[in-house]
Amino acid sequence: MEENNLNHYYKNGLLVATVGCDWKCLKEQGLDISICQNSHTSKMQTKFISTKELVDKFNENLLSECIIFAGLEPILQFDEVYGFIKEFRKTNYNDVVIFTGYYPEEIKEELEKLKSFENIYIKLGRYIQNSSKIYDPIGKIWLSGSNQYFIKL
Amino acid sequence: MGKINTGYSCSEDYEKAFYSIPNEYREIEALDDSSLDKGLRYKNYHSKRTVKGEENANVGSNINPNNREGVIHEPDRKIHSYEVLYEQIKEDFGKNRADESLNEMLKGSLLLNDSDGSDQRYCIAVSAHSLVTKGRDYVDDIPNIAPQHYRSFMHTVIEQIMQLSSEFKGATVIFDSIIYLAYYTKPVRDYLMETFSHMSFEDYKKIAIKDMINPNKNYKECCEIIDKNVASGKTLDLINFSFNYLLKNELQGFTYIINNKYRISGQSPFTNLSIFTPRILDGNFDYFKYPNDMKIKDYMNEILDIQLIFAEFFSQGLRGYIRDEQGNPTGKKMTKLVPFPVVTLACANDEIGSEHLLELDKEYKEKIERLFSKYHNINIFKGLKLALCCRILTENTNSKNHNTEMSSLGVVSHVESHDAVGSLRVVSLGLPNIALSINKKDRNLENYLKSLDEKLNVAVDILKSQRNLIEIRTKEGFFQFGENQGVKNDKLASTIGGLGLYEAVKIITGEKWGTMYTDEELKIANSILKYIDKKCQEAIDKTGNIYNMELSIPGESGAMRLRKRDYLTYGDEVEYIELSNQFLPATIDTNIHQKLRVENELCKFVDSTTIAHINIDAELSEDAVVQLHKKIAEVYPHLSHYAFNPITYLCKEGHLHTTVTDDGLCIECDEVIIDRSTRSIGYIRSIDNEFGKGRKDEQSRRVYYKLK
Repeated sequence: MEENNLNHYYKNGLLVATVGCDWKCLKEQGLDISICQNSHTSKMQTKFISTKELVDKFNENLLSECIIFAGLEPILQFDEVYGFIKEFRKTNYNDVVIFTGYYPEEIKEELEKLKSFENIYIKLGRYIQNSSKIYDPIGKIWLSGSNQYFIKL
Repeated sequence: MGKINTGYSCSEDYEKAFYSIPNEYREIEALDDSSLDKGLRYKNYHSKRTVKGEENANVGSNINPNNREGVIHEPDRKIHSYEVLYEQIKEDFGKNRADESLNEMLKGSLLLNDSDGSDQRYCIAVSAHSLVTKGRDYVDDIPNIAPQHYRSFMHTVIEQIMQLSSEFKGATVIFDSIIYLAYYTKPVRDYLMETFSHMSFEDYKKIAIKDMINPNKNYKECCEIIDKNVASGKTLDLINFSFNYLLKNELQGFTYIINNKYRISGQSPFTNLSIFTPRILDGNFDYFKYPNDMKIKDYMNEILDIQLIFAEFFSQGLRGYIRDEQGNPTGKKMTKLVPFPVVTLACANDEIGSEHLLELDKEYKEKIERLFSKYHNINIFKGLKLALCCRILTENTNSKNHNTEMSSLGVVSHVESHDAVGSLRVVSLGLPNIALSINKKDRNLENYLKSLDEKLNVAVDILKSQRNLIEIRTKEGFFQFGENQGVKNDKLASTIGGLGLYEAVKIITGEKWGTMYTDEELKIANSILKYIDKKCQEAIDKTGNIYNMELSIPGESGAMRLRKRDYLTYGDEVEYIELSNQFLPATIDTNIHQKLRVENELCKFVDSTTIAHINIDAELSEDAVVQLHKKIAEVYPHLSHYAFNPITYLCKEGHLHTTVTDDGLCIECDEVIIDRSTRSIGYIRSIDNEFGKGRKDEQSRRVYYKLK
């Protein structure tokens, strides 16, 4: 968990790193997983964080404007992410941002479920080595490859 | 060893008072016995390059004849400076007060800022009004008239800043230089529009190119620049583009020249420039009239355009070639930030300006924020900032800006005139020293305020005598700048500065250095601020002179010098390595939210006494920066003066970024970093080549908030 993250989305966010990844981006390109910028995260000790703890942390920091689920692969932990948003939405309408390496056609079911909430932003697409950076008009940040993009559900 | 006596004649009283200060304390001010040996100083200058003296006048790589004379004779200037002040205090308040004052300034809890020129005035922000209406009337040996053309106006602006910087010890500013530049440029632009707008784009291109063509750019290349920048193909846009091209050239010239180290000790003039948003221009210059009786609103668009031209190039850093060891250009280009002018965006708060400008104001502010989102070489101030680095505000701004019981917020300018604002001198309080002087068991707020009161009385008297000294020098004709140029001593403040608020609070409560303020401690800090402010008001009432408070004073070296004194007196009880000049020291391990919370809390009652430096380690998108500014304004409404303060890293290939890879390399090309710059306190300097030893050490301990 990292407060004040400003390079995943244009709003200051509380970033939560989820615990697992299938390393699809690298496997598909035949690359070693050490290349991934999140490879070090996979070696970190996992920690259980309750929804309440997350919400409290978010509320304490007056600068926080969004919650970001990112590296490794939040969709592999979809039930927890979904459960959190459900609770979070009871009191809070701030943006929730999910950074996934999947494309929409690979996670149709998950996207459909998330549509029941407002202000959900998803960054889609694999990391592709040596791809040129692109500015995304929705996330309002630079993404590492032109195949990547944000959607608002 | 031979010795040539170069003695200094003074009164016996001063001699006794001076030598009553132990040598080790005098050493902190380069007034110890070895520092007074000029022969030794000359030799050390060339052999060791470590001559004792002001931190920001250290020799380092700046070895040159001008610097040498400044540095070698610094102790002489200080002896004279303290002498004349001592004698004046003796005359005004008696020998005991003079002895006590000298003791406090060299050994105790007071610091005379820029102590080598007590009979000089400190900082100044003048209007260009006098320059525009009367010309350079402060020089009598070169005949001149008022500038007639925008180019001659800019040349005289540069010259006047240089002249001011040799007469004043601190910042020297022409606060409305862009406002007046518009007075000269608007008729030119209007003429171009009226005369050439009917012309075809291609025809006018031929005219426009005459101002662009140069030995390195031929006709074809100029055409390409125009086609790239004026995509609309409209003649009107081309007229604006080509005229702005010339103005950019003038403003670049201004920037390059003022960064030269012309001042004594080899320093460049400390000058500032404010970028005013539309509502500030509209709402805060009621008195202002151009020589043709027109008002700012008649020139608003021209002013906004010129500010933008400046912001567009200055925000991106200056471009040049990387040079080899012999100084020859290598062909590789590099980008670097320059320290001056220190740029402030003066933006409106809720109570400034007309409703109809709200949208324009928002757009303009955002445009400036976007431009500076790359390197953050701008300060943000909510309210009118007449380009000064401290908190001196004009009378009308004060009433609109400040709704608390505080009273001494720099009421320094008559609103119906073009008079200068500024400070005659700053005497800073070493706030922890006052706490340490109280017995440990008796340390509490009440006793602290009692001791503080005594020190403030001394500081007020010193400043009163310094003012008298300035009046004497003024009558002597010692100064070039006087009433004719709008520089009226009685409109300039005597400033009580302060350092180490955090450290003082921790000593009072007995808590360890490094811990966050508790709510109780914040209350104590606020009480101290309020008390100093109250004393300033009392001094105003008693003397009829203007006293204001500036905590924390942006002294580059004072923080280290005061700590050395404290350590000599109180030994291991001194936990801090320097006194903080932020409400929350930059070296405390916390996050951006906590930092802003503390600064906001302490600005509730005394606003903008210091520029809150938000040290960041990140390369953010323009949108992220704009959003962060918005959020800060929303959740920390009392924080009226702040700056994002990253380290800028210059790599071997000439790239400049505000963060590095995990391995400390350039994020663009993975090359090694060859130079790092950041704000020392007030302005941007190279950490590796220009920071003094103490400040370099402090910087290495600063906490940078990783917004990534």
